[in-house]
Amino acid sequence: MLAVPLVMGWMLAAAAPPEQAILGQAETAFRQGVNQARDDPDAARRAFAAAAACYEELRQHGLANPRLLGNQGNACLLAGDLPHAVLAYRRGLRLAPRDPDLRRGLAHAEDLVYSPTSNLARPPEDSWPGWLPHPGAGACLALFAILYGGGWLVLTRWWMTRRAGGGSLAAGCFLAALLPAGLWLDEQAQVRDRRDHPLVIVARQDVWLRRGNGADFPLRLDTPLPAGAQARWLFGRGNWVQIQLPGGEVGWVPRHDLLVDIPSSAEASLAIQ
Amino acid sequence: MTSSSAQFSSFRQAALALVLAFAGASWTPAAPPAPPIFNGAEGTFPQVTMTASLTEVQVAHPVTLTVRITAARPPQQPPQRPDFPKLARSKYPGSGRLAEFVKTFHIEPTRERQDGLTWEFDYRLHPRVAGTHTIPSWPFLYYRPDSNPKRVGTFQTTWVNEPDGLTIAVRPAPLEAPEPLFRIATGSAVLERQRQPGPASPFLVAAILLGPPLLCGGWYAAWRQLYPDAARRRQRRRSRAARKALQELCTRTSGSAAEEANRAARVVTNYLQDRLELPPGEPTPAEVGLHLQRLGVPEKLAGKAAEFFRSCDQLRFAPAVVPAEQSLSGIGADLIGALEAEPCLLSHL
Repeated sequence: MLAVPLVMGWMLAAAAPPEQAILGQAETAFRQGVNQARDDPDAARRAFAAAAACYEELRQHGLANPRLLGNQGNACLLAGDLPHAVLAYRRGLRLAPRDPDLRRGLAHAEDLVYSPTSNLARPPEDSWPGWLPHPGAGACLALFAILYGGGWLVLTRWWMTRRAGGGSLAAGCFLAALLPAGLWLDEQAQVRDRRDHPLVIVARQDVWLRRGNGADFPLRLDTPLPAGAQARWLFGRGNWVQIQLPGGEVGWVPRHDLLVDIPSSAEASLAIQ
Repeated sequence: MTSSSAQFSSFRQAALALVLAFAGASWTPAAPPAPPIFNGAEGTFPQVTMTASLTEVQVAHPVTLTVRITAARPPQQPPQRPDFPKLARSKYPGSGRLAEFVKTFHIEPTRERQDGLTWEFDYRLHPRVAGTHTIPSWPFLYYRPDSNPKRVGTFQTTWVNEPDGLTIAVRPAPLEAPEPLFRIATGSAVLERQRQPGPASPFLVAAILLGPPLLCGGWYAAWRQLYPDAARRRQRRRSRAARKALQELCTRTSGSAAEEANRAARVVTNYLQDRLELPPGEPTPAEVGLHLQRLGVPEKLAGKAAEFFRSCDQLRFAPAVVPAEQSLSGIGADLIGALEAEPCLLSHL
């Protein structure tokens, strides 16, 4: 009689999702870091690094949401790993562009990366007003479909009955549909741009930007790129990648000095000679 | 170069100089090749030291390192700024420790100055990692010419801060960040799976763009199929309204001008309400004109309609003041005929 509940308990434990256990480890490590932050910064950084590793493992399991990525960004930033912190915040902001916690974290990380005396341009801030709700691509498409379809219905009914005002109402619906259509098209353009030119982040300190794909080529800038600097992937050739900085400067860096914001299996689809 | 071979080389050069002196020629011995760590200084530099502005500093905070080189007498070539990365790459005994120093600190040359026989070179060091770090003793190699100009000089080494070097303790930076960053989100929301926004499916876009016109086209076709007389009824209603109004207006009645004006206004109003959806009730002349203009009737014709109703009102309410110049029934009939002929109203109802 005892065997049955024991076996069931074992089966339930075995079937418990590993993500929950990993999440527990991450939260424990993070709290440990918070407790040690004042008295032992080095130990706290190690604890935050352990928490960041757990969050990354969860992400590798296929989990992705603004909360998880925000936690990962905070853990990486407190561990002193600016490149991974910036990457995590950027991934989270793609899912939730208006999230204040993610924006705050990214702003702080960028403050640490880009010093006031640096001649490197920071990535431009989002120009969308903070007070204005930002509709997602799905909402824009749905609104367009409603207005566009409604316009056709009104137009057809007006054509049948020829009542006054029907034509104007149909025209108004079509005109109003242009706004969500424009927003949706802009969003699609950004998605394609992110797919073709993904975000890259300098993974190490003092990486030099060169004019060609080799260490023998002259330097493009007088100062090296700081760890955590953001850029866009333009072109890949062998072990070198051509990138474009937010200020417009174009140059080449070794591939192993970059964090790329796409799965490694998808890099083959990028422009590589 | 060993001491015996150096002596032999010096003897050969001295013998050659003696022979040339007898031959009346002057000769200056060539200096030996310089080792890689040669500073470039030529003279006598008995004292080279380095000092740090701080011996305890925090990570990433700067500390100034000063290398001070003192000559015994004015040199033939002044000392150059020591290049620590280049020294670390050179293979001399102990260069590995200097390489460790170069890796641990970000070295930035700053000021250099000379005061008499003393040269000072400053460097700003930024420690990258915490811990106790030692800048090891390193060789300052200079060329010391021989007192006899006919003889070759020698390379001399002065070891800087021998044997212990210079120790700098680097404290770890405190963990500082905005307070909200020390918080994390918890709960089941952290384990959600959300898809990254991707490009829209072209089939979905095609369905949204083509679906409504196709559906509405089908709806219209079905409506025509179900109500084939609807268009004809619309046409008949239009012409019936006009016929009925014209018939009434042409019917002669005996009555005062005010009564005729009243009847004409009522007939034309009924026509406009039946044919052109004028709102129910008794409209004002301005309302009639505005309604017709809204339907696309030219302003002149709409003005005529408004004038017609104005005339009717004047005759109805002040018949003794305004004599009737023309039969209002006739004016109303003309108005109806003009409206029926108006192209913008041909397709209305």
